[in-house]
Amino acid sequence: MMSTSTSRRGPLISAGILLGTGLGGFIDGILLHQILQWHNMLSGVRPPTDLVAMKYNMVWDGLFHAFTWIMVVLGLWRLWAAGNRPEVPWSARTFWGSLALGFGLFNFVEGLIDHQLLGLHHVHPGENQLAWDLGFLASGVVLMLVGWAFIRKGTRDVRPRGGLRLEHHPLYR
Amino acid sequence: MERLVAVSARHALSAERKSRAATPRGARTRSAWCTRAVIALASLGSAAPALACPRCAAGVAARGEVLQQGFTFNLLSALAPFLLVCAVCLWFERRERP
Repeated sequence: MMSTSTSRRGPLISAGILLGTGLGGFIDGILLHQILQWHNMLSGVRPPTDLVAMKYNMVWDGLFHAFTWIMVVLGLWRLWAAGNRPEVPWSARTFWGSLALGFGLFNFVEGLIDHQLLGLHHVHPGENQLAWDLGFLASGVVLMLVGWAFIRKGTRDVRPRGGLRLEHHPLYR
Repeated sequence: MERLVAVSARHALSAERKSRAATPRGARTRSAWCTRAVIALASLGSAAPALACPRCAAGVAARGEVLQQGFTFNLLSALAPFLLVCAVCLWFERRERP
């Protein structure tokens, strides 16, 4: 059995972060942009007050969804690569923690750049938009902390995928 | 045009209803091909704006604006959070490499 010190969790954490970012981005895009229609990608710059402005924002929402889709594809690619490496421990805690870390990291970074610095859009424009924006940032921090805690707990997990290294499996000897 | 088709469809439907009422009970009725065609045309007329929307003037204008009004800056702004996350992932990938 591998020891914790030699375990290589980087690829699994990286895959989880990419997938968490992509799926978190989809939650933002589908829930906040489309279902609740609180904001659009550039609604702070070009408020969707007429049809052309709505379509303008729709194009940018589409590009945002394209980027989140690319993140999911990259995450799947890295997850597949991690699964093929026997030295990578197949830890559920590490993976789910990385998903939460990716989701939170994206919320925090996106909130900081797009909401606070550039003002491309705000979470819920109106009287309390700063409170909503800060709440969004806080949700990112909480998700990152929860994710990091799970990843830390996952250091004890050392089993590779399938629980047995292929070279030790009777079929592959 | 749409209004014209809708009015024609209403007339055609009312004419068909009258002819059905005049038909003896139990007799099989069949709507004329022109009635059915007008109804189909009317339904197409109401759906046409939605179907044509990807090519409509508002869509063309919006896509034009996207490309003309600070496209590079907006693209980089939208991409920035994703690129930062990718940088963090790269760091994780390299950190525990033997």
